[in-house]
Amino acid sequence: MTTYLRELVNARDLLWIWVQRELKVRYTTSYFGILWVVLQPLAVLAIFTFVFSVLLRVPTQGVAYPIWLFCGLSAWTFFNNTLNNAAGALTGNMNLVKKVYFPREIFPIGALIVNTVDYAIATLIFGVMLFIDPAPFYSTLILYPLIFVIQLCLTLGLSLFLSSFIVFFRDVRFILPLMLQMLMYLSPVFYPIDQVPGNLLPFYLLNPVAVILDSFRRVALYGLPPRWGYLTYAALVSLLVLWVGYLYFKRSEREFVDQI
Amino acid sequence: MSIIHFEDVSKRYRLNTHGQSVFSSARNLLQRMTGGQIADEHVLWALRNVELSIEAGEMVGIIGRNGAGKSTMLKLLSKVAYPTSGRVETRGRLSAMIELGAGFHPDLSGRDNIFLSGAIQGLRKAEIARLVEPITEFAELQAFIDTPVKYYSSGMYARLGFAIVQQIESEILLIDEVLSVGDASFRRKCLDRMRQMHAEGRTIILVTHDTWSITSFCTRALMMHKGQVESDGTPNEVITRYRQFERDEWLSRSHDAHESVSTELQIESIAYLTLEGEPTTEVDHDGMLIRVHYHAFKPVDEPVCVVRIRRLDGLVCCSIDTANIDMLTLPFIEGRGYFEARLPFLSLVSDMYVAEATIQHRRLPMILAREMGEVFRVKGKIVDASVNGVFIQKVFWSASVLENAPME
Repeated sequence: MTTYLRELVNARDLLWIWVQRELKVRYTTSYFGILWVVLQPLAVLAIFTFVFSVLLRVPTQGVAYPIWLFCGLSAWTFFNNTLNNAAGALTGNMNLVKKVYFPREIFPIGALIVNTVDYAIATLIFGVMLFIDPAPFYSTLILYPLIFVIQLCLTLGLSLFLSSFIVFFRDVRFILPLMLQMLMYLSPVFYPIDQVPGNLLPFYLLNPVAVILDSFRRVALYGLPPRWGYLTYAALVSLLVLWVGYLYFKRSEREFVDQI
Repeated sequence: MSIIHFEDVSKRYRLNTHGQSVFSSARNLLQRMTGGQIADEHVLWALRNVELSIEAGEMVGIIGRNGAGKSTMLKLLSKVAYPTSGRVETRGRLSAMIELGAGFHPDLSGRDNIFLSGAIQGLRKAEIARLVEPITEFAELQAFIDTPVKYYSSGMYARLGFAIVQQIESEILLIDEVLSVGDASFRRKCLDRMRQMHAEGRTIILVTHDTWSITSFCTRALMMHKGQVESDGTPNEVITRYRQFERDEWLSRSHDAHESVSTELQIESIAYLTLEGEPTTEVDHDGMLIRVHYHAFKPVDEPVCVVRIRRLDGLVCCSIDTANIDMLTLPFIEGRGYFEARLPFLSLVSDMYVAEATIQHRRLPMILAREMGEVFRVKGKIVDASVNGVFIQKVFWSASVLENAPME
């Protein structure tokens, strides 16, 4: 494990250049460039606000629906997009994987960082929204980064696992969108968690993504502490996923090339 | 101690592990997890028990047919792939010119791609920043370095790729068949640079199909065949051996080519005779007859008979046909008969050849029948084709003195 990490640290320049490449390609080849990072979530926000707030009237306990939605949606979008990008991170770069050796986790980690940049911008927008909103800033907001770190571990672990697993089992490409969709409906993205019947809640919160989204909303919008028990559980699951995901990645790394 | 060492190295590839049914994937997964054996039909041994040592400063050319294991060796050397069994040891930094411009992104500028490509090869950002200038200069791309590489020609692309790798300071350099791109002057520049790197004492491994670059650059050659080192020695020895191999291979393949293309006409045989009409398989330079026996089941209008004499490595040495200079026009052929080509002298060098005959329509681009003859030999001592050339040229030499040496 330490050798893996040392190798990764040695390749930090490559990681950095790779991320730069991905960002450049993303934002310099389209006309509006980096503006899309802002425009896209705002457009999604507008349509969802119309559907869920105006038509379906989802109750949000006094928090303006757009802010309430954006909190969960940006976190979900980050998770969703990172996994989608990571899934293709290796298979889409096989020409490189087959030719030159360097730590292959550059690809999924790169995907994570690129999406984190988007997420950071979204979080900035979220901050602006909180600022404009008449409700006060809650002191619990200080826990926001902690929840984010947990989310990062979970996302990275799954990304590492997925990106390598898919090299051996390409079918995952077709299953992944389905799984992500299911997971999205099983997480409080569009509806508040109070809608979940109390007796089902313990099972519902077995999903770490649900815990993470709920925690974000609690600390940022309601001034409540996270549900510590569940958050600890989610943190442990995330760390386990990260550890297993990375080990699986490094174990199977040697066989990537043989699969082509 | 040698700089590269292969110790009983074998490499196995599994075939078709994706794109197959869910069930066999699941079965493979099960086998992988239980550490079980994989069914034999899904397995390909790209290398088998390879023992090899290469000393520092050697320039080794590796030759072999497609699938002989050359690229696998490079992959193992560059640690892109790992041996199934055995050990591969290398000492020192290694750089690889395995695909020029691997990892270039078309939308990024040449400069950005230098950084990316350099980083992939293991350079630090600061190192690359220092190298941008010399790389650009070597690639002769000063005017275009900030242009996205998608606007580059394939030659410019290759130039940039080579320029990056040649700047990397490494003890071992792997080169895989990359110098076939680019224009002639840049190719020469690359070859000169390779010579220079060799002179600096770097170890160079060159994989190629091109026997010429091996004989003219390398100090040692290896021939790979079916995953094993078939021959190892001086470039000349190994290339000669390779030619023989190609010959045998080509021969055995051409025997499969006994096919009749249409049903109306068949070439029954191709016969070689001396000028006096005696059947033979050994001819001398005085000349020979080649008879193409046909059997036309229906009338075939305006047939043209083409005979190609091939050297055993497949090279077409000459092609003669009835529509050529000495036109032989037949309105049609039917039944059995033969075309006879009389070669009043034979300027082919002593070697082994076969004649290949086709009969086709004069006007339609359609081959009616094709056949491969037996091997015949042009008498004399057979020397390596690379030494003797293809044909014998009549020549009159003379020598003149233009200026006398100054008297002491």
